[in-house]
Amino acid sequence: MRRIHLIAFVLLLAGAAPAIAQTASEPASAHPAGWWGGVGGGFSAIRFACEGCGEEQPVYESPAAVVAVGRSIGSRVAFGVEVGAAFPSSKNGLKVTASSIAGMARFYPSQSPFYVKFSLGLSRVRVALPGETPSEIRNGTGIAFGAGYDLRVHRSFALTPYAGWYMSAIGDIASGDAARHDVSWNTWTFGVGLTIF
Amino acid sequence: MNPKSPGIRRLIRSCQVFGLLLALTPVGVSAQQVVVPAAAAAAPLPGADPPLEPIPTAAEQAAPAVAVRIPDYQSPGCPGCPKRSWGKAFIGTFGTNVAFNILNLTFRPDSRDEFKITPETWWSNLKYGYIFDDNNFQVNQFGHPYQGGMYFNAGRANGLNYWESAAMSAMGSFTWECCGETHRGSMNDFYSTTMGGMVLGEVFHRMAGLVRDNMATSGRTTKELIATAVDPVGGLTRLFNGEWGEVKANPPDQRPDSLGMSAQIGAIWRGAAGTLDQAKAYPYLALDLAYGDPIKTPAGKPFDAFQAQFVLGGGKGFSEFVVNGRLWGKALDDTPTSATRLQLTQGFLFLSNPAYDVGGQSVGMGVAYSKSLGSQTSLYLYGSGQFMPLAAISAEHVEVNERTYDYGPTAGASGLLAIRHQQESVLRLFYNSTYLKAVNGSGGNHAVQMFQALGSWPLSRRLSAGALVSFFVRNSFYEINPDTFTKYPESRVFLGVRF
Repeated sequence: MRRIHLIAFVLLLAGAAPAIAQTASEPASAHPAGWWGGVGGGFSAIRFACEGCGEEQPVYESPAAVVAVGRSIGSRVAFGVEVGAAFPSSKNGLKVTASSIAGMARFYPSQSPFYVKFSLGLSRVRVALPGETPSEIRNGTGIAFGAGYDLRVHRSFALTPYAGWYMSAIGDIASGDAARHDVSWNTWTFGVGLTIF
Repeated sequence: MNPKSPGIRRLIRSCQVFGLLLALTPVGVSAQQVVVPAAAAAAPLPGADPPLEPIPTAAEQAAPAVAVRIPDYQSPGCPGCPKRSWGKAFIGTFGTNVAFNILNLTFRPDSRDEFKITPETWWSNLKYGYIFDDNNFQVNQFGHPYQGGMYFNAGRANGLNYWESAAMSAMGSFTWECCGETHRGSMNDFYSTTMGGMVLGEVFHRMAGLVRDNMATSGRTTKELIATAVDPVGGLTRLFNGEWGEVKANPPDQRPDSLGMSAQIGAIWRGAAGTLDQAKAYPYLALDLAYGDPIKTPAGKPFDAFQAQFVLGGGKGFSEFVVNGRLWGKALDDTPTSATRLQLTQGFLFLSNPAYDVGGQSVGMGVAYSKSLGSQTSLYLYGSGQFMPLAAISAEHVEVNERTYDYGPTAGASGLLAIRHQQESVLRLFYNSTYLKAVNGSGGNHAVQMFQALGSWPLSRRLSAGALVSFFVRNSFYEINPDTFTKYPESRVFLGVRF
């Protein structure tokens, strides 16, 4: 978890520094106008939970990627669709790949490019339980929220450090003796994206 | 319809009564404390329209009005709106959480440990993440959305618009789950508080707006108190901002261009095992509110047209709350005698009766069609598809403390046909089919269908009499346990009053 803390701290600084610098000279609108899209990559930490599993479940660390496209509604709100994936990660013999597709809304509370995000959608997880092959694929539902900062580097591009928390549930994974019931998971993601306005 | 007309004024007075009834809904000091007595009733699923929707005239249909953007904050376009303040919205949201925590510590001595929060409990909840909780249906599907509405209205009362206030709802919900209680955060609560809070908050905000009158110089305190009972955070914010006594203009869109309200009083018979043979009669009171008109009201802001139905009795103290509001709309076709509209909607569903519980927050897309069949008669058709990221439904094989229901995403479709005469639905047929995949609970999948037929006839200008029959069918498929097939018929007779 130390690695998470370090990355979070660095990203926080990366996001906060330009925010402070731009406070006085921020142009009227630094937000997406019309259609926008973005790609991003970073790091995710996944912690599963299930019925009777207890709190101390291992954390699966993995690279993560996200692609999003959307359209702004007014100057403060942008809607979009977001597809995310956390690549294979294994611990204690359990291999995990998680992905999601979600409708998403970004809110820009002020003139600054800082935004908060909320999304709802569907999730898919591929899990290979210890000693079980092939892997199990389960679909479920997911909710996420997060924040980011569109740091403009060009009229049409911005570097966007972001952080998010994704919660999802997939139900039971019943595979031989290694069955798990009411499986859900939390994913904490940190990364940097390229936003195209 | 002129908002200043005697008819509208009478409706607004009626809304004060409606607001008081809503305010008296048994919501305790927190969502955890919502206790609703046992038993039930069935109602239209999201997509159904209320029976009292005004008929658009041919002239109105031929020339659809265009929405005028009115700001939600004090500005030249809206001098009577509240001053815009994100800071006060944050304070109102966090203040709500602090108030809930203190009230629980004070009035729930048996559960005090759940609310003795420390930085250690905050970190623990953040570190281990959110899970599903085991609270009862009323707490999770009504209590938490109600609480979310309070966060939402901390935004609305401080000049934030619908979407901006949604961020308050999400933030208040997240911070309550992580840091307002000691036990682990709940992802189903986070979802229902946020999404349900948006719907309930906006409905209560708009209902309170029907009661408030910034220009009133007499009876002002009474109006503000009633509005505060409906929208507590909004009312308190106005009190702290000195708006209770300030005489100024009302927001131009504080009242809708059309407003319909009715009440039904009658009896419900709800059967089990597919028959009404052994059914007992339960009295009930239903209140319907048609705010704006999905055909006639221009699509400007979210929820400038919505329908709400609230049912007391029918086997439980509080058995139904169904809301369906328009987020966005577009005119597809207009002729002198008909109109077609495409609309994106957001809904709230709470059905809780002795036979079954169903609840959730939906997003839907539908097409509404209205055609004049004569000077006083019209046809209304509505077809829609809905998605609920996380709905709740009672199911077998779920017994986790207070929980007897599954959680899962749903996809569904609805169809509605209504014949209206003298602004009253004399015939209404409704069908909904929904599929739920459980992601927490029994592990089953549920195919749910509801059919409903209503017949009503005006006895006078304000009175009507009618009957309703409905069937609620649930087919549940389990991986380990046997599949189940359940059918709940229901019938109602009622006397209706239109305000």
